[in-house]
Amino acid sequence: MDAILRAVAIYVFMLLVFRVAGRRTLGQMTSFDFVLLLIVAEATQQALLGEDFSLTNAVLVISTLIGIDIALSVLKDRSPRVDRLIDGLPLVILENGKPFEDRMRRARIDVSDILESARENQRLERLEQIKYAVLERSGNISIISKE
Amino acid sequence: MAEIQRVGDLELDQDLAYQQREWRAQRIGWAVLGLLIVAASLGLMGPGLFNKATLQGDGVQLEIPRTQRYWAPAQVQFVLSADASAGEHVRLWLSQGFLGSVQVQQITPQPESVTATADGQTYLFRRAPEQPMTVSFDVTTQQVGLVRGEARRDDRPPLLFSQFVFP
Repeated sequence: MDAILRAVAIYVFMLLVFRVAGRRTLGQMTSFDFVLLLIVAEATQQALLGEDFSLTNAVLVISTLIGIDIALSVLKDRSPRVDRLIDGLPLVILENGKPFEDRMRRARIDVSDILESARENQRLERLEQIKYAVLERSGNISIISKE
Repeated sequence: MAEIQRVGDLELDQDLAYQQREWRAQRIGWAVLGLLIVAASLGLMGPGLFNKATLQGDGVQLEIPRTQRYWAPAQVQFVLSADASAGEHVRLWLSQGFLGSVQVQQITPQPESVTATADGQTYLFRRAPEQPMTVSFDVTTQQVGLVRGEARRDDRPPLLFSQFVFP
């Protein structure tokens, strides 16, 4: 029971804390973000397993985490409200070369992030070549170029 | 299948009103995280600035963390006051309510003997009667929630104490 409660508690906490951190925290992995993820994983492992390093405990923890993941995916499929609560919604941050400054500021994105994605994905050079830039639910920025 | 919204030429599930609410919730979440860190620094959730409590009993002073975390190490310290009229030995009794919630790792100084009673354990220490004596229990907490305990020196009235253990 203890293993299951730990797994549920950690899963819910991680879900909340990464939602609070915002999409850009997950979307763009810099060296700093990678190191942070490694440290978080290490801290989480201790809390998940406690002092019980048995095979049974590991199986229980993993099963609980996968079970929650499956349950949430079914719930998201059935309920658009739950889907948007857990994963958020995409957001247009630039239209016809003009960035939406307020949206970008609140999403903690700047123009250089958009230009970087434009270069990487579409080999574009300037903002005016971009028809739409969308901040996706994953935190990535997708670019639709003008014809 | 739910209808997909249209934003210009894009078919996109954008909802600006919801987005605004999400950003507001995020800011609140940041504030909660910040408060959590401040609370932890101040010792409200384990070791920190204001975590230690000092309690005074009859011939015994207890220093104990107000809050502790599950399976974390802690130190509980008893200062037994000088008593020239007493002999070379002093007894310190701890209730089962406390001892059952921790795993005692080390006692400094080592007691000469430990005797189990119906509701706790009595530790016998050798001491110099004219000087106060400090007894430290290094423990690991094993119970979550409010832990209540009693401590008593020799046959004197008990000292009641408690601490909250976070999971």
